[in-house]
Amino acid sequence: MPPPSRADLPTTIKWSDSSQPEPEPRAQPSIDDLTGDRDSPPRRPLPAGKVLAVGLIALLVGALLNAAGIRKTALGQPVGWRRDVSTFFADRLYDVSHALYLDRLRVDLKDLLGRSTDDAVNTRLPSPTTTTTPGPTPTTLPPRVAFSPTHQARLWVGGDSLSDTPGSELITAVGATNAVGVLGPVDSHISTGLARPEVFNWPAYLKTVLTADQPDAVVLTFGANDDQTLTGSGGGEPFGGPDWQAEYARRVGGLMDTITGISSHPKLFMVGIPPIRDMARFTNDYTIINRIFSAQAAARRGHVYYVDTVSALGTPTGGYSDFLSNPDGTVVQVRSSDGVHFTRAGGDRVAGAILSAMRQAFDLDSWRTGGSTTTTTTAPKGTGPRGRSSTSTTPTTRLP
Amino acid sequence: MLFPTITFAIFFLVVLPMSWLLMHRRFRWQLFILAASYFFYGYYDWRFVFLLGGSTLVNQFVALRIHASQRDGVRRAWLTAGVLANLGGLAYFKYYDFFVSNATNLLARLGLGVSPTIVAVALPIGISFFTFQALSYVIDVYRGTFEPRTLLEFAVYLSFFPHVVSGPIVRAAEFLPQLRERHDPRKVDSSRAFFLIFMGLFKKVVIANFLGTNIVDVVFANPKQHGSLEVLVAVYAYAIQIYADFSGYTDMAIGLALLLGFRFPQNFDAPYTATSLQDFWRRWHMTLSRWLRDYLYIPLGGNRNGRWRTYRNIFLTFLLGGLWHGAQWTFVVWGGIHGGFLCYEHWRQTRREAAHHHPAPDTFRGRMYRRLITFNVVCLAWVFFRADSFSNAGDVLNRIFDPSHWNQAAPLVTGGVLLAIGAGLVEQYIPRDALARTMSWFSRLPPAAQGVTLGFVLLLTNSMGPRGVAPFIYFRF
Repeated sequence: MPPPSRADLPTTIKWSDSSQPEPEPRAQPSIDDLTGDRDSPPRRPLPAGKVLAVGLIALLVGALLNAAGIRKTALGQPVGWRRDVSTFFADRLYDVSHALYLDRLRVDLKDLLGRSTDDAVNTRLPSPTTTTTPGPTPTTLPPRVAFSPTHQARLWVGGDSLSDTPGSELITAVGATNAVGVLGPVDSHISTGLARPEVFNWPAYLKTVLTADQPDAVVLTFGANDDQTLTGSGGGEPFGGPDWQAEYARRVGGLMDTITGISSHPKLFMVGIPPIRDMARFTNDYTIINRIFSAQAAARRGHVYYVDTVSALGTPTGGYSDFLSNPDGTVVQVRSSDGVHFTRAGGDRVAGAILSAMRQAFDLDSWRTGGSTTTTTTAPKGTGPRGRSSTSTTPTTRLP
Repeated sequence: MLFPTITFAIFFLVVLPMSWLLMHRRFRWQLFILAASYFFYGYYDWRFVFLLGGSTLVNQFVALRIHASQRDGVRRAWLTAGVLANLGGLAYFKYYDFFVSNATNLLARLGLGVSPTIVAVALPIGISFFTFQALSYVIDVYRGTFEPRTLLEFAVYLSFFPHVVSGPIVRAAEFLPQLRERHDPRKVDSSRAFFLIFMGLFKKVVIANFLGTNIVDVVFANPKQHGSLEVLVAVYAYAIQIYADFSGYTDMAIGLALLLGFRFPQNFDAPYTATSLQDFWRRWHMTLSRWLRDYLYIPLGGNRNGRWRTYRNIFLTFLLGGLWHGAQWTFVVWGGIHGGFLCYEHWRQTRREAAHHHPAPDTFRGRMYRRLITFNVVCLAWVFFRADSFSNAGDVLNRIFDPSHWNQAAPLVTGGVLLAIGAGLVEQYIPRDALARTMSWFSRLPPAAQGVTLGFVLLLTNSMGPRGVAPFIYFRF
């Protein structure tokens, strides 16, 4: 940390001292006057070779002490030779660290911070409990449950980094309904999905969190990081092939059933991936993932809703654009500079699409009129293989 | 390639010994460090290497033309061309979409619908920093305070990897003479360098990322969902986050350059101990404020043309300084708040002098009071800096000042958040000589002990930081 600045140094910046006009900046101060290191007690310099040795020792000691974290980071590399090499060395490093009890310090520190599961690796993924083989087309949906200010729907929002901005905008948007309460801020975990459970195991995490929170609605966004080789149980398939699609569908179905199987039986809103600037990736990769989401949601009609974001954020032809036009002719930037994530305006559009889906699943408005609604909904024919048909009339919660 | 990554550690472990092995052969060293710097810069996006190279060629050409010419008119014409080329590049890459979309929306509101071409220009990382450095070179050559150097030296200066992405803004006159100095490989000021690198790492990875993740991002995403206390603490947390993030980056940059034998100017000097806005700008992003003073404020006339012109120059300098940070009106307001308060301080000072008032005695209480006021004015401005729109900033301020939300629960205001804010503030009040003595003590430890100590700092940083490293806030500027 630098020592104190000295007012008498030529570095002193006077923005407004009217008593003395600033001179033209002719003579510049020397660099030694600007480092903030004058008059410091003497330090012993080291030869460059020893400097390198200090750096190497620091990295070695740091690596041994952080071996468990390094092992997890190595596992999180993209599948390929780099990951294989990284995990080989990280495993050896961890073995040495563990044998010398050097890993204990990190374990204790993590315990102290309440983050003892940070370095854990769990690759078990649930299988679907819903049969997704083609069957009779359902014609009715489960009743729309009515919510009101006195009986608010409990909403949980999370996913990968694409969930952040739309999730925040959704939280704002549902506030206006007065019939939805949120269970906390957006629970996002960057660079995660279902392809790499060793990086982050969403099904295991969600089971724990949602069992505690007992939500009525779960909004989940991921998939954009999943166009890669699957790891974990049932993995090993390179992206895109029939085996990959079957395994990914199994994971998506297993996750959906895990969520809807929570005792509060929440409705799941699975947000699709929008077009990105790299349209080749969207067309070749994300379309496959979106199709799987959509098909698995259709198999759980009335319980899982697929939210299409292409119409909310794509151009009229389904393409990508950073800027979109509003109905009044003004243009608004909807995507951030990376061509993937959203601006607030873009998040607002996605949130609108999610809220529309929520209104299909829930009655959020009839409390305003104090009436009752018929909650039978008829599903479109010929798309879903499975349904839990029921027809009922549920009285809406009345305004207090 | 972010500094706090394994990729960068491997890169630097190769560059460091190679640099010292080649240092005595100046030409080869310059070629090597240029290649390393272009590799570092191209690692983000190789296409922008051509932009950096193009900027180098254009500015060197202009500087040589200015230097070669004896006629003032010709020199001035070349200077104008150089400034326009630099600002034109900056305007295109950074502000094109901003101006086009604003013009479109203005015309749409006037009932004149147009469909302009919005090309979604990708922002080259570090363009604001290397453009300002190139400008300083051309202007100094024009002023006659500096003579042009060789193309290779200038290319090394502009692309030198410790500062190319996010500063500090090192001027040509501060860096280029060091290229011709003799660097002794037996005397590397490693203790200060390691101290800066590891302190910077801790500030960025632990303090900045923790506050960003645990309160700032959440509250600024939805201010209306949070109570007044939570929003107020989030604003203070952002003040610490941006300080820890940016000063952490520049500390690391200064430390890395020092390990390679180069001295960079100090960029932060305990800014939240400032007792006035003027004092704040002597301590915050010092290289930018010196740049703005010498290449914008003084050329505008500085304080040489009367009181009102002085106010205008201060205000304009800060408005443009705000816009330098990004293509958003919120940044302009941020600059306007700073410029406005600086003008107010100037006006008050002038009035006191005119009334022959004695300056207030410098008591501890008075100093702390002024620090508190200054810190809160800076935090008010940070609201606009962090908010992504005026309505977002309005929501934040509305929550803080609306008394009906003060009773709301504040679950995000945890002990950890308060501790991180406290640590970020207390760090600035540690006497500088105590830190200097610590560095001196550390330098006398045997190299192995230094390495082991730093290894334990890595344990703390890695264990306490979140998984992955968020990009530095100043990368987008």
